[in-house]
Amino acid sequence: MIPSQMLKGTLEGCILAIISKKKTYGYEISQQLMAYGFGKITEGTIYPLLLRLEKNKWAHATYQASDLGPRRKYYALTPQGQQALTDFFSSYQELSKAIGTLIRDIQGGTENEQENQTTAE
Amino acid sequence: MSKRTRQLLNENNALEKRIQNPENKEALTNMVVYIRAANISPYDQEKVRRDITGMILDGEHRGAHIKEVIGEDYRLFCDAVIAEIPKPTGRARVLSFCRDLFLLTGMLLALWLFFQCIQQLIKPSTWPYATLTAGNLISGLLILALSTALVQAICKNAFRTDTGPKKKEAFLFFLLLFFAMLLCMGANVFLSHPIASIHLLLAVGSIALLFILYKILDTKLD
Repeated sequence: MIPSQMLKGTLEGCILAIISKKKTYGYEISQQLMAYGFGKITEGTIYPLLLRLEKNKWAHATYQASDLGPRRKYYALTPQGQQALTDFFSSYQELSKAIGTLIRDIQGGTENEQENQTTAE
Repeated sequence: MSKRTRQLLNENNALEKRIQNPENKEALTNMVVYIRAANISPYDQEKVRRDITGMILDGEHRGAHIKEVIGEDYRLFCDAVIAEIPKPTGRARVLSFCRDLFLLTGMLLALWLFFQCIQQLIKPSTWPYATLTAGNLISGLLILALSTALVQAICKNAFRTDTGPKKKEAFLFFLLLFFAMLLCMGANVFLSHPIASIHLLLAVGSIALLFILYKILDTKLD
């Protein structure tokens, strides 16, 4: 399970990415995130982030009829949202590269230390 | 309340009636009460209420418990939602304050006039003038301050109803209310120093003007 603190900074971008695929609503976003391996994320966590996307004009919301219950709020990406998603991917790749380098260095370093210890013995 | 806010309010009231589970209804009420105290416009409050009600109803149809929909901490959810709603401008806040003040003052003035009329009917001493005393003014201000504080306290503690020491809090609340009423009555009885003598027609006109101003602002503001 991904710790919630770690998710916090990236969830907004991930929701943008989900919305970029097709117009969708809160529960469907939570299901898609689960399918991608993010674990169980409630609509209560997603809704404030969707409000933020709307506030930043990165997403546009419309109400559409639903077969089951009341009208659902569907979110679609705006051109500004598309730009924000591109920026998110770029920033995340930078972060991922940096963390990858750090992990390789630490783990590689640990392996080298172990090798050195074995040789000395 | 503007036309669009009233319309959305009516739609939300109808939508809320479709919630079947009493636990969900109670949770929604607590969340709405909490959001009402936030510094966001009534229209935005109703928009959020529509979305949350929709989420709960959708959850009910799926057979999901409300905690699976909203999460474990409703207050945390409400705080996160409030943080994302644009705050009203300074002008809108001042106008909202004036609107509420006009309504409350109009109501208090009407109440004062009612008692003055009764007093004049029993013992017509200054007819057609009514005397506003220091006690009247102090008790009026006290009622205004207390009613505002009371509404804020109820809204801010919306989620504490099932966790807090209910009996102790209820006792303290009624004790405070009792003393406030005592203070108001005492001020009216003992602080009889006259401040102004107002013609009853002028008082009626002032009340009408306050209600008209309230109505104008209420229809203009979200």
